[in-house]
Amino acid sequence: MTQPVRGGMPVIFRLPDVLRTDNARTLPPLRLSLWHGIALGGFVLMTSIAAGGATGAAPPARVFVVLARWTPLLLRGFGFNILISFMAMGIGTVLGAFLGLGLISVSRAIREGAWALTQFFRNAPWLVLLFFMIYMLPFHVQFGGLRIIIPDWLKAVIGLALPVMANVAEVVRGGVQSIPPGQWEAAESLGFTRAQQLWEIILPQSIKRMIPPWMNLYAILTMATTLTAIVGVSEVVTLAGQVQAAEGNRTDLLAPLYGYVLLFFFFYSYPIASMTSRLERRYAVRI
Amino acid sequence: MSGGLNLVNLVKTTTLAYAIAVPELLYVSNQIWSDSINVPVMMVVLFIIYIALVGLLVFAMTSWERALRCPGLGT
Repeated sequence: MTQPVRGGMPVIFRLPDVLRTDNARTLPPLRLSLWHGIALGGFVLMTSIAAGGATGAAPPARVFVVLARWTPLLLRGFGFNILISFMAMGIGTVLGAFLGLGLISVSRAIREGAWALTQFFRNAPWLVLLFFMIYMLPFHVQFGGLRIIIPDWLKAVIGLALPVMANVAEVVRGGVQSIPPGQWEAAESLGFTRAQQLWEIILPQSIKRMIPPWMNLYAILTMATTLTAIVGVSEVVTLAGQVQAAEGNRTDLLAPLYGYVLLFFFFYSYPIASMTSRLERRYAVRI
Repeated sequence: MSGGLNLVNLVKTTTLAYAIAVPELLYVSNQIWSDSINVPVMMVVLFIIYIALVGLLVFAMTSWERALRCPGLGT
């Protein structure tokens, strides 16, 4: 590369190609592909066969049989994971939308308050937030004579919704700020009020740019629902542990069993990941 | 900046070692609150420590990036 850059400065060293493209900063470092799923399936298959073949005199049940026997239970547990992720995402999105609007508020006090809240919940580890909610929320609430017991999984949903809220707030702020300032200025010059500018001009344009990172966040949240196993919610990882115990703690079952659970998650998040990257390409900011 | 973000996530992910009984901060805190029944205090302590850790990391990364910045290269 010998031609001078704009401004006549000579080029001192050449950048790697990947950094010279316009969208270098938005390049996804690693995407989930179908190959990951095939590799995972192969792993489960191989460990299952190896486990089945290595048994001694009185052969215990083949690993495939064991997996097939417990699949309905594991799927029910996985459904619970999905339910938790839906609820946490719903609550987190509603709260995060308001928090994100607070982040771009014209009032300095609201802006800084929202910023502090966002930073706090974004930088605290998810597991610590989960522990906090499990231990600090009351065991039951009293409405007059009515006593409602809060189940563990509901506390876990709240614990997961808080970091989701902070991340959604950042997504909203990023989406709004990705709209060129000319849009704001044009709306201003046409006599729209601040609320009209935001709701009728900026937000409709930025919503579609918020969708890919929002879906990304959802995939992350789905992975994070397994954390609730640690605080005692009986979801798929807890059930996998119980299956392992019910089968007499066979060590040859460990790899296929947890690989099998991993496959559930792959088949759930792979469509989300591929749709996210498709939407990202379609809504890419072109300048 | 993205390298800093990954490091922040890495620091946050170290809590997962709790699940396999590695005696890290969360695990030790759990032992403490089981022993002296002071869950609220330990929760606040945990939050303060993690926020301070992440804050320190972000501060270090930002100042490092500022020191490495080459005018005209990137944005």
